[in-house]
Amino acid sequence: MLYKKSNTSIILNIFKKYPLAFFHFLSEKKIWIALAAVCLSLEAQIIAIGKIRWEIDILALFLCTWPLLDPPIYL
Amino acid sequence: MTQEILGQKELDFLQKYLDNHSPTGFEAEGQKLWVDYIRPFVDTWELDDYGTAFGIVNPGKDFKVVVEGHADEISWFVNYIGDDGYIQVIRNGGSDHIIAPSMRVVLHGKNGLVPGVFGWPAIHTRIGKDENLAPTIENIFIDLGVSSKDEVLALGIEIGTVVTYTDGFMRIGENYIAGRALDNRIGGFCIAQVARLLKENQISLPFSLYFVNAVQEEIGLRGAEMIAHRIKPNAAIITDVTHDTRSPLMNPKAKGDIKCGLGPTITTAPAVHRVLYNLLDKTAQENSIPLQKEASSRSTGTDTDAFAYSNEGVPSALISLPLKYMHTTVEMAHIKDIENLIKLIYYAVQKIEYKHNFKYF
Repeated sequence: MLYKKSNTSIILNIFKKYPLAFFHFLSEKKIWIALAAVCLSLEAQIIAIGKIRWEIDILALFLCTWPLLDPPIYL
Repeated sequence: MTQEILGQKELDFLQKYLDNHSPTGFEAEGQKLWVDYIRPFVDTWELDDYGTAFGIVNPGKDFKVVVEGHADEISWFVNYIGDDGYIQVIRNGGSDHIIAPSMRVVLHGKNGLVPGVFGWPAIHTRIGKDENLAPTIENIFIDLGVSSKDEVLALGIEIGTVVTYTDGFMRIGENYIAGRALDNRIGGFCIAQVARLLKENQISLPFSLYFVNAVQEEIGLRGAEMIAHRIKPNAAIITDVTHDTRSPLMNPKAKGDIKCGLGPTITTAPAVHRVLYNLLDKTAQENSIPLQKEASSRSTGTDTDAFAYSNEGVPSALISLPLKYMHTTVEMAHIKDIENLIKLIYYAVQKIEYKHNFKYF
């Protein structure tokens, strides 16, 4: 039987592992999915991405610009 | 107990089949054993390029039914060899890092099998911040009894060498078997028994029946994906394992109430076709086969999903064997459940008609 970690679990682990570097990885697809899942309280499903693209873009724009004004410590 | 279907000869094959090493992507040795066993019971057999083997009864018909199990077992890959000879690994399938320390392994090197162990620091030495040290994928390591990277390489071990556990088959109590890789070589074993019973009882079927032992399930149902497109079946009955949730530390309320010894399960899920599900349910009732039921959200996590969503949609259903301690080296199954699973498939394929109508209305 296939073992597959739940998407929610993967996302939480990423946040736990990279609390500050989170924004740095925004451009990576996985984080886009993670972001969508957390912000919209959904389990990230590839199939759903198309449907929530617009919401991700607005939120990502905000999160991409914000660290430039107030850079995380690790930078 | 009285074993209706499984005699010593069948159990001997099961032991041999379970004790061989067939890690995901490297299933050839197990497939050879399986093909050798099933060959007398089928009219012909084939192998695809990635190693999925299938036997066919009644080949050439324009209505094709698949019964399927998967042949691969979870394992590890050598991912890093330190200068001191210790080896770090990554998963090949859903291997559980929690159980790795103190396990004996074999590494499938270029020069043959090389024994090793997953080491672990002694309890006496885990003090202070290390008192609660737990195995993680990052800190488990294999020791080959050598002291340098060069010695490891000289043994034929390199990055990408596959690693399996050595634990084998055992009878436990009166009714159970335990071993490594019951997930899911027990599926391949069961469908082979169905082939044997159909042959021995001279059952003739109006369609081509494919006995498929697929590779690469444990990393994403890949072997089934490939073979479903090749065979293009009209229906598929998949068999895999499921969790006994009445063993310690399991939660039946969250995971469904399933117990070894009470029969195989059939699953309700979006991928499971209701007509085929109902056929299985009715077959069990008519033949007094004990049956348990479970439900899966979204996907079943088995090759059922791969078959169901292949081609233009293949009516598929899932029969599972309750299993304790899945993805450990002591997976346990009840012999009566194994027999009942075999019986259920055996009788179910006889209820499927030529060009069976799977339309909902």
